[in-house]
Amino acid sequence: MTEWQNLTRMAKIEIVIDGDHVPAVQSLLLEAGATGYTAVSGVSGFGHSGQHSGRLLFNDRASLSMIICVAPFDRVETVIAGVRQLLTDHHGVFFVSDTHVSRPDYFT
Amino acid sequence: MGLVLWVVPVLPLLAALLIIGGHRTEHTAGRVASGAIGMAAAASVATLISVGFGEPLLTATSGADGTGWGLATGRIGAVLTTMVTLVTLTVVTFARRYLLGDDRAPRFFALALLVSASTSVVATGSNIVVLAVGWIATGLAISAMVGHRSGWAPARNAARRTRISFLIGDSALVGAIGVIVWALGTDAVTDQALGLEPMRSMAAELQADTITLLGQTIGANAVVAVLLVITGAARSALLPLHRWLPTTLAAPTPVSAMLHAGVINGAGVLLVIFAPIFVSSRLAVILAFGLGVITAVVATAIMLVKSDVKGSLVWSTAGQMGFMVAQVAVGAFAAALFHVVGHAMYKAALFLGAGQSISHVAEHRFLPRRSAPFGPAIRWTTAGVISAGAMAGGLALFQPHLTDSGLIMVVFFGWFSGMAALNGWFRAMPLDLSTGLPIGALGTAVGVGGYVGGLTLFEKFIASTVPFESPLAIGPATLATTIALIALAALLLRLGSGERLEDVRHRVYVALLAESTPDLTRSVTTGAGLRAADNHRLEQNQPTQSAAWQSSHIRIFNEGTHS
Amino acid sequence: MTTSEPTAHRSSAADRSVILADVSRAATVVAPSWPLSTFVAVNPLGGSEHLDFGEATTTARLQGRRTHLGLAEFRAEHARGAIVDADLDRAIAVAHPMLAGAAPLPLGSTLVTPLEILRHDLIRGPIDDPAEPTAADNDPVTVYIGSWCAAFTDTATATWSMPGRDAGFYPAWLHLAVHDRRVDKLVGKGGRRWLGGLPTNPLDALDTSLSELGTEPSTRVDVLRALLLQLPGWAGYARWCDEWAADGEDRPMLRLVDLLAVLAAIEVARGGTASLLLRDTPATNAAAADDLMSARVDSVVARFGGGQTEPEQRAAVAAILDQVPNVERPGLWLAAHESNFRDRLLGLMQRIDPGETGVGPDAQMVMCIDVRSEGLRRHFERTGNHETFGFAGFFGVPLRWRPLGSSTSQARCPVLVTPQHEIIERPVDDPEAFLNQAAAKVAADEAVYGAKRGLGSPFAFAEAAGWLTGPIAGIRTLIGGRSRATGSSVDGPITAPAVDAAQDPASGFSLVERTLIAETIIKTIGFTRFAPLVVLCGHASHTTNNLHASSLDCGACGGAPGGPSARVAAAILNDPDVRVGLEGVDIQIPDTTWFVAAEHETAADVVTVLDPHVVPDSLQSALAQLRTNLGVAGQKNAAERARRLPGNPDRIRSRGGDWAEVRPEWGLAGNAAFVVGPRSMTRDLDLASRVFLHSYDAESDIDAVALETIMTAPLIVAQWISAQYYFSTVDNDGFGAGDKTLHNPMGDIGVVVGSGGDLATGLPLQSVSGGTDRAHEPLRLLAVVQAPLERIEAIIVRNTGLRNLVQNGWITVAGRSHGHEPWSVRTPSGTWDQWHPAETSNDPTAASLEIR
Repeated sequence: MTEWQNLTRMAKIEIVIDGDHVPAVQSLLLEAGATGYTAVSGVSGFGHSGQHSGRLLFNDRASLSMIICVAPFDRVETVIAGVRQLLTDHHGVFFVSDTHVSRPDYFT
Repeated sequence: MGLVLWVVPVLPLLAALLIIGGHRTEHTAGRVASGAIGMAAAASVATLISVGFGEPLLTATSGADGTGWGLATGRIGAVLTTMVTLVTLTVVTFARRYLLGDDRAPRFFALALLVSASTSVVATGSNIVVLAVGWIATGLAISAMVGHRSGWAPARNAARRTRISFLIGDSALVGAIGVIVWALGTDAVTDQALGLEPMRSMAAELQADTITLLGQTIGANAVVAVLLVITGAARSALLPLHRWLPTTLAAPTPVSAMLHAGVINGAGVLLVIFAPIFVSSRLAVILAFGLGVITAVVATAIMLVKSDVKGSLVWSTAGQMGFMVAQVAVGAFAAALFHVVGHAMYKAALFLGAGQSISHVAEHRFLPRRSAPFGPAIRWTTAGVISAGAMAGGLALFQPHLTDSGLIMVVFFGWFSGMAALNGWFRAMPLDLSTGLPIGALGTAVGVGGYVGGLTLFEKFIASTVPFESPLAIGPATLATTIALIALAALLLRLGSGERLEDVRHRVYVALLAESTPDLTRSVTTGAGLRAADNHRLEQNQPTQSAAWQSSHIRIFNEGTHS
Repeated sequence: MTTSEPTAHRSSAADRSVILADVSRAATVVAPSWPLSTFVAVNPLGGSEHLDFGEATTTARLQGRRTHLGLAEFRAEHARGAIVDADLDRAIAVAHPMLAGAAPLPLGSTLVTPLEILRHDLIRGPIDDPAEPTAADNDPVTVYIGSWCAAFTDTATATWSMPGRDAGFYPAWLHLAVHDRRVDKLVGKGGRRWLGGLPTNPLDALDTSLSELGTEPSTRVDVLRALLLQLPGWAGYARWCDEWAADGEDRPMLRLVDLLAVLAAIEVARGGTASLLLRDTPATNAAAADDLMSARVDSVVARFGGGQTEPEQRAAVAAILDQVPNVERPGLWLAAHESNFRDRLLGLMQRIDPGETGVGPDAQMVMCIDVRSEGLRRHFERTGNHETFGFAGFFGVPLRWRPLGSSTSQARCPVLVTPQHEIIERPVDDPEAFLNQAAAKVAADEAVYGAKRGLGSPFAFAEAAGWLTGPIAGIRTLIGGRSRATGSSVDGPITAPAVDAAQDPASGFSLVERTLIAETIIKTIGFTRFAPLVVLCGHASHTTNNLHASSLDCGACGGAPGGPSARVAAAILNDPDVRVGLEGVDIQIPDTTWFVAAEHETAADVVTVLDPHVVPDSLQSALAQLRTNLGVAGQKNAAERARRLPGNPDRIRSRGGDWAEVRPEWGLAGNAAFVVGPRSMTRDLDLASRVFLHSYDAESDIDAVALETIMTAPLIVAQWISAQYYFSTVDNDGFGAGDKTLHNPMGDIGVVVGSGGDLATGLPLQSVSGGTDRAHEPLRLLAVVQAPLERIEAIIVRNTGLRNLVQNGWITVAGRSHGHEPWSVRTPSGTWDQWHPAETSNDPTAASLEIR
């Protein structure tokens, strides 16, 4: 139990979007003051817009990418505003959840 | 031999008329043009050899000894026609492939021939009226060439601006002739030959006639000289008559090559031909020097901020023309003519090769680079010392016959070029010092020495046809002071520090960049106006073919109807 | 006019985030534009591929572009037989099945079918192609902002670069704009004062300006798009900076948000409003439209009805013509044109016996899918028992190439792939002499630059240098280029690409990676047997004085020469460790087989064998024979190409070196189809260098990995190229780069036309036109795939980008499971219809793909 007290609560946003739009998401994250993110390219899946192939051999842009970012709540809120806007005409999804980190200075 | 002289302008003229009148196809027009200009070039070379090794004057005129109507040439004229015909030959041959598929190519060929023909008339006209006819025809022909893409508004605008500027200059030339007629009678403009001695006597005669202008009494020679300076300034894009020049980039590359090689150096040609009259007026000399120096400084500074290749070539030309006129103003006529020819060839080559820049930049990005072995201060100093040595060696070896002012020009600018080039070499020093330094020094010696040697040879060739000592020309003290002040100001602006200076630097930068864009006042439209214009286009659901390729027949001199 | 001070503004973080998102949404209105030193062909309407082709092109027309040939041009195609009546009938039938099948109606004394009426209207009905062209003028705002974009991005030309540009485009501009007297001319003194009060953060400034313009959040993207379209070329370059530039790119980055901040600020200052920017519905001239319709009816009536036509008959004709409004007529013609090409290509392929050749080949050659490979492959196959393959010219090795001695590397792969590995060219010989020479070249250049570009140095330099450069220019012009018939002996020392990361930590791939690369190459191509010599032949084009030179290089290598990729791939495939590894995946390459790298120089059609010294001695005589055969093939292909190029055919091999030549070669002009399958589908056919050929063997690709790779990468790149040629042809001023003879280079970034203004992107006029004749038939790409239809369909369905292209009519897909089956064509709705040639279409025995 005590371990939890040493952790800091933060928000995590996971965005799944076409590889083409990854640069746009990256600039949103940077503008919002996020200090870093993790990107996984070539993710596959099935959903609202049908089937999506996973990694393609010679096309890093066409398949879906997932971008994961952890930041204080206010910054994630900023990111949400932008990503929501971005998704008005691009398909993709994002998930926001609470998370805990042990070294908050990494994320601020 | 006189017949040969006629070939130079007449053959291209006839060929141009054949192309225009016969509605020749592109292919035939190209062949006719290169044939005609090739023969004209051969005739020019023959003329050059003739005046160089035989009789120094070649005439084909109505009167005796080169007087009256017709063509007459000494060495200056022969040098100029050789240069112009060879440049035209190159440009026409280039354009036969470059403009393939352009249905206005025949028009281009015809006009290029006309430019060559009329420029040859300027260089070899037997009297001032013949010269003036050639001069005005050159301007008309080149401005028609500038409007090559007559379906495109910027091209029409450029042609119009060019014509207007030239009209100012041409009016001044006609005015100058008028003053001569008023002062000396009609015979002076029809029967007077254009060589050094006849011009000297004309200058003296003109001086005897005075005009009272605004309460000041001045010699007719001064009026003529000032008008000639204005004529040249308009043709050579000197400030403030320079704004037409950047707009001419709306013409295809070969047009720029023709313009920058064959036409724009008109001020130099004109003031050398009329040198005795020009240097007889202190007023004209000061005007020319002022315009020349200001143009050289401002236009060259604009070149430094230009990021488009052709734009920087254009501004470089304007600066070079300023330099050329300054040379004339200090009485360095032979050097000015050397500059006319050298720069023409230089600029023609650079324009024709403007398409090499991107591959060049890309290629150089991947070439191995080595860092310079020493910092800027040592680099510049070493380069300066070596270049000075090369200059001293060149002077000692070739012993050029120069006035004090001429010497200052040659020494300072020759040395400066050598230093700047060597500094560039050092900046990317390719080899270790023990090889790179000698190679750089040798290159500088060859370059600087070759410059002095070439200039000396050239000067010797035409020495007898231009004035040497000109008491009223800008003297060495004024010249040296001017150079020193400009150099100081440039150094201060470049190297000085401090917030205020930084602010000045920014203002200068913006002013230069602003001056470099052809003016924006032409069609200031608000958003509303723009949309309306667009909408007009949108209604046509079959928009348009590229304009450039539309017109189906040759049109000469009629762009005005479009604008 | 505006208020004298911008409302002091510091936007909230969320607002800025939303605006930033809208900026990237708006960006799709322009296509990204790569620096011209590495030309990458893109679909200028790539941002609209999620829309139907018809809808996307309608929008583009509303923006002032032209998207199809004009009716008069289509009719000229019809007159010369490139489109026949049956093609039109089919196009009408597909677009208007009800009309095409409808019963004839009485007209005068005869009965006329709706089909006949529509066909007549298309071929002979009145048209309204405007008489006088309206070539684009340079708007002052375009010139003004363009001059700042140029100043900001330039790294090559200006000696005095834009002060403060490290801060980014907008802040640097704002700092200087207050001194710029041109601003007064554009927007007046008040406008300049207003600009001076803007915040320095581009997003805040954009927010301020947008609200000043009266922009609603719902129309913000449209306003931003309208602004970007004021400067589409520079906006495209900015989009490249934002979305495509590699991380380490060493040049000032023109960001879209900065560019938009400037555009919006100027728009406010000159009194624009959002509603003016958005007023893009043309004030349709209803009267003119009515006149045209009535003239169309008249024409039909006059043709069929004679004098006595009842009013109700007129009304019936009008009702039919109403179904095909004027704006749809070019679309029908385009469909007919494509149908004609499709019939010719599929008809030709139908005639081929798809059987495999039996005897093992003496040599095999893998060439790039580029359409220019088709001709050389055909001629090479005829010089002996040779087999050829098509594969993307980077040979499946995504790499950054660092030439000998260079400190910089460059991506050599399709731009869709981000290369993770750098390959360094390492010397085998002593490189000192070469390096010294190269470095001396740099230094000599610096010397010239140093003298040319100073305040005091150019004067004496110009007058002296001219005596040297002038005669050289004259001689170059009179001589033209030097003819190249044989491969240039490689200048410089012997080198090798360092491919093994274990030996050279800075360069190369691990053994596992190399083995995977090798496996991918072998399997994607569908190799089943190996000749003693297998040539991997990349391509490059050596041209001079050509600003668009890189548009002739290998697109699969990112607009760069393909030789290095071939060298790396060959080194990997010859690696004994790799071959051992391949045995683990059931690929047996005989020890007697050697992979040879080569480069096809496409301007002169010369193939140079690269790294010949590494070929084992036992194969040297075979290599000599191979070189001879390649020489013959090159010569034949050059002769074939000479017929298509304007000018003296004898000059074909010297065009590349001729500095006065604006069409050194046709590049990919004419490209129209992408064929995926074994060479047996096309072998012996003359495809006139119009077809991308990708090798594929459906039987050995059960899991469809290879086909999915082909259809999601090479096919996409081919579609970009096809669309680039299409739009550069139909609207060269709007989508292409315009007339080459007016081009004015900006560093290595691109060209402007004339003295300044917007960056001209796309292909120049001389790349698609010989003057009066088009060199390219603007057709949408036809993909022809020999593979089970379900497999093709499944791949289309699960890849969004590909699906968009197919379903929205940007490409057409035809397929058959194997060589003995008839072709089927996929309809946009997802069904596969068996292909029949249009009834009276071209005689298949005489069919040819030659454009003229």
